Amino acid sequence: MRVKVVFHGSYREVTGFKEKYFQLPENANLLDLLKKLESLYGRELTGQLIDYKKNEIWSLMAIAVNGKILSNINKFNCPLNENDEIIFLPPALGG
Amino acid sequence: MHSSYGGQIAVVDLSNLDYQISETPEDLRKNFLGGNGFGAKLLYENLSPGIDPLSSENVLIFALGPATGTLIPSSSRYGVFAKSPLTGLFFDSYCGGTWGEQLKRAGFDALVIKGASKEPVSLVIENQKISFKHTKNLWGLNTLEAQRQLNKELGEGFTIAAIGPAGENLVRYAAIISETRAAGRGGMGAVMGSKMLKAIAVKGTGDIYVADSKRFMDYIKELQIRIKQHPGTGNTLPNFGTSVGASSFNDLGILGSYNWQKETFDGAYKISGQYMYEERIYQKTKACLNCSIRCSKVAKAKKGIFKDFATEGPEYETVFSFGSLCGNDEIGSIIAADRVCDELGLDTITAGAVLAFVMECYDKEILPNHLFEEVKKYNITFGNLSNIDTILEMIAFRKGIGDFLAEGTQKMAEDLGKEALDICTAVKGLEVPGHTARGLKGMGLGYAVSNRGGSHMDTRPTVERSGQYDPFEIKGKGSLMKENQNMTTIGDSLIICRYTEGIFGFFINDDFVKIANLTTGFNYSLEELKQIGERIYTLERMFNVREGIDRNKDVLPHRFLNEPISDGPRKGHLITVKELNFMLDEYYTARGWDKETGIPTDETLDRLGLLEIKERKGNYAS
Repeated sequence: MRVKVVFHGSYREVTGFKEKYFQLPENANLLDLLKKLESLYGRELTGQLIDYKKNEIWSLMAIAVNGKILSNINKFNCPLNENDEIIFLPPALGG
Repeated sequence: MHSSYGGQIAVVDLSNLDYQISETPEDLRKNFLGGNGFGAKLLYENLSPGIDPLSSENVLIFALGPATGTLIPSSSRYGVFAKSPLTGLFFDSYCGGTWGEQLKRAGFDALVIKGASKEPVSLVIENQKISFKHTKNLWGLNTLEAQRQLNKELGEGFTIAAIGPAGENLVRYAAIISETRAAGRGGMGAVMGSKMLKAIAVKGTGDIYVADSKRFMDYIKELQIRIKQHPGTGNTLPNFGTSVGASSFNDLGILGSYNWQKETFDGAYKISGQYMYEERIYQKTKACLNCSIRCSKVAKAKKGIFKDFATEGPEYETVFSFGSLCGNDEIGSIIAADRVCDELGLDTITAGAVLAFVMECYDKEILPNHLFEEVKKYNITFGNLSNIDTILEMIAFRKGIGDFLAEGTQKMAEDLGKEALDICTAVKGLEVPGHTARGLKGMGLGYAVSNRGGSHMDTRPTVERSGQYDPFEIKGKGSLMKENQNMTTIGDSLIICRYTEGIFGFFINDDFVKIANLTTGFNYSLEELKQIGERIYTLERMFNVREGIDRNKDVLPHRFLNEPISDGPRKGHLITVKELNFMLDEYYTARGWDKETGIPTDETLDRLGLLEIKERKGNYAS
């Protein structure tokens, strides 16, 4: 299946893409996508989201799947579907 | 034992050009911590209810926190407090740079400024020496010119907080500017102008101590590592600045645009920090004193009619207010607006919101003829800020339509009638900033009950936008937002910048206890610090209750309660009156305020040590 990934901030710096489609196996979940991105771009990319020392998501960092913001690694086993949009968000700072 | 307090408070009487200095009372330090706490206590006690905010009876307070001027990152800040001419309520506004550190080095924790001078005057503080300088020559100068001229006259080493023409002409959202940083919101600059106080120049050469220097330095080293490691503070903010959120908020459908008629904006990328970084519009990075986050940028317009305009900024709120909110994706005009607002001494959020409001009024033809013609003449229409420098100058000098715009959206809407009130997005008179209420329900509650009105600094949008709490859930938001407000209150009392949320979090925790204890030496427990936050916030509420605020005034703009988001991923969302009432019930219960009236109960005041203050100073307008 094909999913669309949108990169903001540092993520865009690392990948060089504003958005890109990725092929994933059927029944893949968000963690599968993250593993794929890690294999392609290294932890320079996924380390912006995951604190690997603690195996948890950095505070204020999150991914949105079809507009729903997820910031708990336990929720990353959510299944993905064809044409889902995954947004790598910059830190939720502001003001 | 040392502490990081300056140690003294100066009470300045501008009517008689006189002052008194006294030691900062121990109970004030212990029970109200600093900054926000000092402002709330001193304002409640020194100001009579019901006074005109632009009269000599208003009191203007500058206060520092125990963290101000220390090596705690992002802490070189000062707070300004007064009854706001925009809201008529308690107001606090904060500013970075180096002015706060200088005042601390001069040996002060707060300046309490009363009365009004008959002629333009500036206050000069050189360590323990306070003097008044007649500065008629500065009146009329913009904030940057005034700082330069006063520095020239006083000699090296002074840092200056000044007002521009907007403050002098009592624009209700005039800011106070030091260097190029602003205590922007709530019209503190207008209060300063009403006192004919053009500037406060400070030079301090004393040392700043902390209570436990060995443990303090160890903690600083730890914080520097945490800041560097966190992707937000160590990477995104230093590279992209605070405006980075504009395009991602748009992707989520929570970027207010066209006066909040929509929450997506086609031009979002072109006003974002991402764009300014990639197109090399950012010229360099700057930082407040001792802050390793370095979120500040200097931007320069590269094309268009504002080519070569440069500014320190624009921050996220400014790209929102002059950008998406005005339907404008021309970054040069936003850079120009930011620069001109700094020079004239205007709050960028309210200034942009006022224009967006007028743009919609123009589209809907709800302006009287003479205003309609002026809007047409200066082309104040969605997507067009080609005359922004002229329009802002008209506001600051109250010329033509500028006199009307200088009042802020709430007063403008009240003048224009019901149709205008329905599209006015101010809460308690303060225009909401670039954080959705309809797309983050807890933030909606936060706006409704904020002591400042439509502010994102009492309640934080980050709590829900980070995904750590469900933005669509209403249950539990009352107590959640209460705890978050107590954190912002302690943060503003210490005083540390909100951009530390990535490392300190959303609630009072051991980091806040550590900062408080290592600087003050008071050895607070976590529970004691939480109670101080609650005490200060409740005292602010008492101030507002004294001015007539109750549950009936804790409301949201008509648009957010009645018009669902019209577009984008959050299409259809809004906060219903029923949902707001549910959250209000929870919130008042969590705070120990009466659920029917929203007024703190005597039992709560007693628990927080505030009952005596209420009995002495009164809880209701006379």
